[in-house]
Amino acid sequence: MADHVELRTGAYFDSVTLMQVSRTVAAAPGVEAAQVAMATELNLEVIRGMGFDVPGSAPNDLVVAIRGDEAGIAAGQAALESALTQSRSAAGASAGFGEAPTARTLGGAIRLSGADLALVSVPGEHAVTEALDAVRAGVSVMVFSDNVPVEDEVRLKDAAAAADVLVMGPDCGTAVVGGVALGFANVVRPGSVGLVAASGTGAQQVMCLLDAAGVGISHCLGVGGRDLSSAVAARSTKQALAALAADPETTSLVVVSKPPAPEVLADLEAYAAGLGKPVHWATLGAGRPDLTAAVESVLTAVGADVPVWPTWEAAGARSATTSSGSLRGLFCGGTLADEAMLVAGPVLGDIRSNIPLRPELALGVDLRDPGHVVIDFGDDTMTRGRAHPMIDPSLRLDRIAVEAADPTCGVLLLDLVLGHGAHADPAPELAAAVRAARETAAASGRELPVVVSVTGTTSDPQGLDRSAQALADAGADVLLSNAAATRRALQLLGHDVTAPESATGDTAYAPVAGTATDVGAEPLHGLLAADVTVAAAGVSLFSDALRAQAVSVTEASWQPPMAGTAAELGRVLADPRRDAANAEALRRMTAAGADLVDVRPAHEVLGLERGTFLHAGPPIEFARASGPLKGALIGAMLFEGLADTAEEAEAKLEKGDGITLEPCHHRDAVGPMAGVISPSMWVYELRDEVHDNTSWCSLNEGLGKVLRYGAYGPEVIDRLRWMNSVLGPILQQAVRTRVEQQGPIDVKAIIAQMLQMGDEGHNRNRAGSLMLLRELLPTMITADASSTDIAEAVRFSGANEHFFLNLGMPACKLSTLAAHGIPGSSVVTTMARNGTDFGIRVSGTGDAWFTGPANTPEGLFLGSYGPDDANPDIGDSAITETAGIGGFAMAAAPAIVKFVGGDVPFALRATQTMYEITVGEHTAYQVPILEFRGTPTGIDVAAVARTGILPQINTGMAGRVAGTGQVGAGLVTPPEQCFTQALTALAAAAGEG
Amino acid sequence: MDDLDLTLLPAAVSPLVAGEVAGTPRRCRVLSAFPTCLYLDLGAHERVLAVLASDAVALPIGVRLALPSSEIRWGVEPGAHVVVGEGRVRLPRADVVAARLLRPARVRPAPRGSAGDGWLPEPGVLGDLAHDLAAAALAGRSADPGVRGLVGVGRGLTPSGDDALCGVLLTLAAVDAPPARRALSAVRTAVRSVLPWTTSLSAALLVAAGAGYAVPDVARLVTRLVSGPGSTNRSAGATPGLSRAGAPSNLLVDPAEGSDVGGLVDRVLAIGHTSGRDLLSGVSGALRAVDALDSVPRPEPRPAPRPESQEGLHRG
Repeated sequence: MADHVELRTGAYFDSVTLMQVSRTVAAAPGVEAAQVAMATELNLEVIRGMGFDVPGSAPNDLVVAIRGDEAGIAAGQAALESALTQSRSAAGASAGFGEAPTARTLGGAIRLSGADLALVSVPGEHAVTEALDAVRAGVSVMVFSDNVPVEDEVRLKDAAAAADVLVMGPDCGTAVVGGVALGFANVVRPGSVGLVAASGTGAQQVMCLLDAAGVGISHCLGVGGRDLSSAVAARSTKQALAALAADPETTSLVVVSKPPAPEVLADLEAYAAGLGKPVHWATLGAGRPDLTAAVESVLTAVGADVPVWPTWEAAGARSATTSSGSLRGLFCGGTLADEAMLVAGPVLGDIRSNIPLRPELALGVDLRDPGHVVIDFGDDTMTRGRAHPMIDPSLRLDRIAVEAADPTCGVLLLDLVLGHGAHADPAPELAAAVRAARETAAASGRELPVVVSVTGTTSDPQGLDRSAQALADAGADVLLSNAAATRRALQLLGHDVTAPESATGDTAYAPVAGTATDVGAEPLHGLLAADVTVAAAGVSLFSDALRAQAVSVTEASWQPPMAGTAAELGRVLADPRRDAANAEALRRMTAAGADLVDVRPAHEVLGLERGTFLHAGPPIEFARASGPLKGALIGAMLFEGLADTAEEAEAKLEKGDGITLEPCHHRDAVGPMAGVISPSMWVYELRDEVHDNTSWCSLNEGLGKVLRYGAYGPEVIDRLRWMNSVLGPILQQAVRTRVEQQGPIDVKAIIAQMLQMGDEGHNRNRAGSLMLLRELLPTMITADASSTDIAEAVRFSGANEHFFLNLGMPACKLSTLAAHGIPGSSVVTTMARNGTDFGIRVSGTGDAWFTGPANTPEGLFLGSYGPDDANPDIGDSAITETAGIGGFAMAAAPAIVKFVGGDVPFALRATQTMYEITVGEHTAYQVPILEFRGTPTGIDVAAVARTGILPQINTGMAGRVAGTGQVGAGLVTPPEQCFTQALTALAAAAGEG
Repeated sequence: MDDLDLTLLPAAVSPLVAGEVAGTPRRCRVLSAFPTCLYLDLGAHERVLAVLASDAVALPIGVRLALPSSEIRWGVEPGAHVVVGEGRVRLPRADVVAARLLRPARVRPAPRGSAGDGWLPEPGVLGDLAHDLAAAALAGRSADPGVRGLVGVGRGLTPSGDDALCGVLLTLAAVDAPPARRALSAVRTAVRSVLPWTTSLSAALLVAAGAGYAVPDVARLVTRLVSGPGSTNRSAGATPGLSRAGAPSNLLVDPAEGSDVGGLVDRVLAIGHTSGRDLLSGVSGALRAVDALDSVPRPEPRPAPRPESQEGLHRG
């Protein structure tokens, strides 16, 4: 017997899916125990409780724990893979060739589908972010998630009211909109009673009783369990009532709630009086009618007969004696538990509970007490990190077994909720537990009576009769009315209770004013009149339930945000400046010009002193520099005559005397790969006249053994000298003459064209280089130089496929420079690497760098080089991705996959994925194969943190060892921490702003 | 998608055809088969069942699947027979199963608001014919000549004249005023007697339009055009005076999302080959007649008084 424990990062699945996967794995032959769960604290506790040794992990990791013999573990792993694959494909991963990936956010899913209703069931701390997406898109949203702070609920509902959409929730389990059941809902007949429910199972109970009496419902709008609290003050309830009042199908309204705040109820009653339709109240509370009594009064009011509520008597003879001992109510439905306590309390006295009627009756953490106890297994505190007990009954089943062995337990009162969203067939398992419990009790000489209230209809997929009969066969009394079930339990405890007369006096009838409803009005954007289509984020079970009802559902392939970012993400997304600031950043990025105006030595334009070297990426000292950067600096020392040998150069650099290292970005310059610019080197000068900015970049040396890849042999230094003495001056003459004759060369226009010719502007510059040469040739060949030199300069430039890169990069730098420094903007304005660290800078956080260790690219290698030869990511060239080309425009350059790896569908998908993390689309840079869609532009730190999607960078790979040169090209992403640090800074700035 | 996955296709059923779908199984002829939909003959000439993929035009006489046409192959040709009944449509590859009732879109009667029909395309001759019919019906004259001049006229599964007639019926159904109700009843009666003159599908849609049912975009557009485009709370330019009290009408909603009247018109125009355009011609003509009635106050024409009960006689 052995334990197998593994952690998987970046593999997110919802808790319901993982519960099913865990069961599949545990059922594999030779597996003794298994648990597959997200590494939340609660789940880790459970897994450690099973005796597994789990290493340190983050909540977004997937923990796989399997115990068994060797073959069993292998079988378990095989079962795991197939179960996970199945659930992935069920979630509708992108299918067609190069098709856009599924949206990661609810907002994306709504945009793709045009849905008119949204469903959020992601973990509570992330629910508001998703729900706000829906509100901003003008779509009403049901928030199934619980554990949402009340202040967030108020904020969300205020935004919703302003947008005329309804927030159903949070913690809204049940809704029926136009005949479509959402979440947990029973299949009820259509009719004219409209429900507004601050209680999920309460609403289900009311609907099922109405259905059993032959009365149908028009809609049931859930509003969340706290809507009638003082803090939320019926915000959603009022909207829902108004919408139902305007709905022609609805003739009478019922408000269903757990005990509401008295002042809120009073205010609501006054509000309801003006709606023009009768409003009935099924609001629980001490001294108020139970739900069954409330339903009976509704039936009377609509002229329907009050039936005898169905019961299924326990099979077998029961002794006539009544049970001694205490009431033990174990519920899945919170409102049903509340109702049971309200009905039983006056008879039994104090009832302890995890949702007590009075605070002093709260149960301890073990939830045990020798007296009367009612437990709500669906309460927030019981569902953290696990599925609702209506789906996963295991906690309650365990407790039933505990009660069976407890001599103080006099009667078991249970609920069973059927309908969409609930367990596909919960009765057999519960019946088995009931039977086992009764047998356990009998074995110790006790008779344990069991009463079950079953909430369901004859049309429910599980079958009401069949389910109830299974429980009755197991020895339970089964009743449709939860209140009647509670009274039955009391009778079994020897208390003489009878149902009260139907309560008919509690209905606040409004005078029916014919003119009160505006016939033309369609509140909630016509939600109640439309046949809904749904966008969903979270538990796929609910989406499956909707598909079974022939509802079109578009699921976001939602994943939790980067670990630990939820709170800061909330603050950044709520920063009122952010939308406008990001829009302005995008506007400036796309408006920025890029004209080649001159070619000059760096010491003239960058103010570089002898001994000062610019380099790529964020700041770094020589000791921490990578091989290629060290090699390039050694080469530059030799080139500048600061050392005669490589050894001497390295020693001087290590000592640091008279040597200054500084990022190119600090002087508005950029350099590819090592990016070393020394004072004597020549640089291109580009201007953005729109924003009055200038940027510079060195001349490209070609491929192979070159300084920028860390090579510093004699041929490298000789080439640099030739570039200084011949190429630079010829290019300078050519550019200056060209500027005089025709004006500057529009580099931005070349980028726009090259994207339509198969380049992406980072690792493929073929068309761009040819177009650039075409612009320069006329004035190059007339330059004042020997024809041999001119011929060599032309040959050198023409032979170099990356000739253009050193102009594309400063053009991109001008674009992002224009967007830098906008308060509140979360747009990335720099991404750069020095071979050791990856660093980013963000528009709204000034000149601060946010850094992390650079990743090593994966891709294709030149010659005999392999992965071990590659240095971590290096160069300022990621400025291209920052400005919306390079990896972001990969779809425009499918041929590039032969150079950097991947396949063509990957290239198409890469660009489309980047739309998820960018503010918008470039107006000039377009991708023909995506119908000339603008490239994804303006990386949004918040979107990166939220989706976990990292920017896609195409890059060259330098050799790890100084002096090697280029070893390949590949694909790479920044480290996460650049973005999480930036988010922290943005959150702090949002607080001040 | 694997064919095996398609053995049961949940569908939402329009109440207009729910009776036949739930009823005793019967063999129904396939009238036509398109990638997005099937039309089945339910027996009587004007009884047609549309089996619709999620990307089909959402006709009010259908069972609608949640799957797009790209994931469905019907496996039947026109002329073949399929069994409809007991909550199912049995196709060779799969059973379409009625999972719930849907609520087909219906115009919502409202008083005629400010005229703002500049949104609509040039109605042309069809519009004139529709106007003459609506004007006659509103004036209490016989609707028969006007209806006979339109029904079955033109090409296609839904001839142009029928589409325009639908436009007239829907417009009259959307105007909340006694003359419009009387005119609707008269036109409906006239249409009922000439249904055999047109195709089954078109006849079925005319019957539906007579009860105010239409494709969702059409129903929404006609409702808005009748009540005046300004009163649409999802439109970007909602006039404050007309917006519903209680909730701000246009905050935070992206006006470019195409739910404004202009966007609706564009989507309706995209229906069928010319169906959307022809239908809007009918709407234009009928609205012109309604407005003429409103703007020229004159004694209510009272021909032979009709008993109110007659209105429901033709609903079938």
